[in-house]
Amino acid sequence: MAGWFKKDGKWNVNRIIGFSLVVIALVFSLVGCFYTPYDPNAMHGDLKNAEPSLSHWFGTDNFGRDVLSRVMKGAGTTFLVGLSVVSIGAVGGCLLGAFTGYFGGKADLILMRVNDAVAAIPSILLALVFVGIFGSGTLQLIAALGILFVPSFARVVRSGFVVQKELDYVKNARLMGAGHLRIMFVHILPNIRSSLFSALAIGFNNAVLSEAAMSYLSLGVQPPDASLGRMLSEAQPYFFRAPWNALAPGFMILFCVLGVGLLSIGGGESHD
Amino acid sequence: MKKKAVFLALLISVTALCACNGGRQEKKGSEDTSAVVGITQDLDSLDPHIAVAAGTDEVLFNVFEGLVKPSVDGTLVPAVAKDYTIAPDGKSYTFTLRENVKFHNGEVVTADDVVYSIERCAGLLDNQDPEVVVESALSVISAVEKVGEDTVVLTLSEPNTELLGFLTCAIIPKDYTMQKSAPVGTGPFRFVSYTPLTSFVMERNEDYYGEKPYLEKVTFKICSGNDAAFMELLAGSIDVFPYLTDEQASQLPTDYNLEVGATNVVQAMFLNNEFAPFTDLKVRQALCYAVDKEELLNIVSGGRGHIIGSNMFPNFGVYYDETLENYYTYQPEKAKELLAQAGYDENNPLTFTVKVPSNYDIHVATAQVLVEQYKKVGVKAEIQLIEWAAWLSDVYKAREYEATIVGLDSALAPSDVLKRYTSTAKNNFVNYENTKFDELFTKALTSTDENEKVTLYKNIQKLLTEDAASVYLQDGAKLVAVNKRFTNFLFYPVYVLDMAAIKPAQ
Repeated sequence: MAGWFKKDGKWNVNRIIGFSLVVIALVFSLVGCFYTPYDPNAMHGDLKNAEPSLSHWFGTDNFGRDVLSRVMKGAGTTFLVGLSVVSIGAVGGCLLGAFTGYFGGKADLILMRVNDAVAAIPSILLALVFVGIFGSGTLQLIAALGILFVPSFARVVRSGFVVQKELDYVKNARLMGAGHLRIMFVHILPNIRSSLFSALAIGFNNAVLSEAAMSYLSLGVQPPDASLGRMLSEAQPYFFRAPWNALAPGFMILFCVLGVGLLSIGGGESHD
Repeated sequence: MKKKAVFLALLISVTALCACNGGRQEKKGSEDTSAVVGITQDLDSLDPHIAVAAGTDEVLFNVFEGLVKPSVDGTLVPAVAKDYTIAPDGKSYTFTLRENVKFHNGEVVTADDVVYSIERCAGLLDNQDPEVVVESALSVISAVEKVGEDTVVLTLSEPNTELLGFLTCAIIPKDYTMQKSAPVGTGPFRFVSYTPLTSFVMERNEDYYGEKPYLEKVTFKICSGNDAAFMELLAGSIDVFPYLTDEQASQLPTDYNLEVGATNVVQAMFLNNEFAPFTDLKVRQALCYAVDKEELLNIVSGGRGHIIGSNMFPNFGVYYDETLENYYTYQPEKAKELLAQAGYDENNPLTFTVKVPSNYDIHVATAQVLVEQYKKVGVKAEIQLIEWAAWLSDVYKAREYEATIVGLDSALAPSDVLKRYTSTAKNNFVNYENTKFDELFTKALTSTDENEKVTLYKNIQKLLTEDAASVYLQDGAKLVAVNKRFTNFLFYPVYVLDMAAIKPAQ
């Protein structure tokens, strides 16, 4: 284990910090799935915006709800959305990128221009349109963001395939009679894993931030359910009076995004 | 790199927040006669006969006037009309027009304009604009006639002594077709410009017949929500903000005064009486018993609102039946029992979706509290936030909803606040139907005896409460932030923002 944190005998600082931050965020959200100190939605009229204390570590919000419990629950929701979005984007992007990159031709040209068109529109705007048509809610949000994340993955995977398909090992495999699908997904795909991993890390971060942004605009997760973005949105008017309302979910997003980002940098170095 | 970017972002956001706070001291000075009012909802139309939203009425109140207009104490005072008489049998109204009242386009108001306006409102025109929302209370008018140059007589098909409350409908120039883009009225302010989702600007009407407003220019700034508006207030770009939340009121900067009044709005969780579980009286009653209104008020409005028990609010004075406030007290056990009788229990919980307009923080907060309270009696309520425009089209017009939380305002007549529950009313979006209600309502409307009228209206309110037509919650406290440069912000028993009354603070 200790070796994983080292590179050329030196400590890989990025990896250590990134790993710790991700672990903190993960522990919070995983424990939140099974246990929270209080019911995250239970309200107390006489405990509005209470300061952090021993009984409420992160204080309470304007409904008297325990912020710690809501952060735990909300982080779970946000990460779930992030993971689902990245999975949809990655699977869709891999398929699209692999076929267009490997076969090329007119289909490649057309699909990639469509891809460019989708990527050219700000993702939040497209998600807004999607939510406007299909209504707001967690599932709709996942679907909307998932589709929007396809282009970025497709482009990364396609460029990898375009390079790899000209290499000798692919030609060899071809001569040995391997089918196209086998070559694409058994031979080439593993060889572009390092760029794919970076794309996954960046994609996950973007997905978490997008979820936060959408919920902040009250288009994603619906109240009273907690999500980090919704908590931030609800905390905004109380920022000066009860800053813990905003700081707790804010730091949670920071830990997660920074952690995954650092991990991918640390990972990238060792691959090179 | 990434780390640096994050710190940079943090730095920028902190600086931005500080800047918001610091900017307040600047500006002002020569702009003393102009005011910016923050509102949180876009106007649905500039044509006063097409607009239906309360948030639009409160703005257009400054631009348009009817024959009469509401005053601060709840009575109706002559406006475009100088004087009026109601025939003893309640079947005709005679109005004498004020001399030399001018429209904002400079033309003098004639009896023809008045006839046209009332006919348009009542749906009596031959070439009626289909968009005009016909005020159904005016449908009793059978004829509007011009008698001489300055007299207009309304003839009714049946006696109605409450019609005056609806004759606040705007007087507009005859056959003027630009009302939707460049509205022209007779009010103390004239329209200057309107940018959708941004602002509505008006200036002092120098030709106004009454006391001219102190303010030369008023801008209604349309903010995307309550928080956004409050941020603007903190930054000093809004002078008057009429929808403060309790929490915001406690954070009000020192250069603002807090004015407290009543919203004169019936806030309720309205139930679609035709939606399957809500067709059952027991279910509706259970939903009423399950709400702890004290706790609700405590959380959402700092205990400042007024609990109501039916579709009416205390400013209606003699017509208001305060005994209904305690008709449904908080009794979770009874709620569970009623639900059990209706066939709902833990294995088969009552489930419904409540659509809440997302621009109203108070309704969103209320919804969150109610969902929690309903959870305690085993009812699963889910919140769905929707845009205001979607609320108007889906919930109010198309009636496609299960439950919704919103506030209803009213004209200055008890019939207006209750009429929507008659089975044929176009705005009966709760789909309430009770023939006894319809009968009593017709009787109350035509009654010429004031005492009998009061009793009848009280009975009607009680009927609504007994039928649990909806879950009536509160007449909220209206908390208004007014810049200390100004004074004399007036609270009306109707939902209006009277900018003409604003005076400079000395």
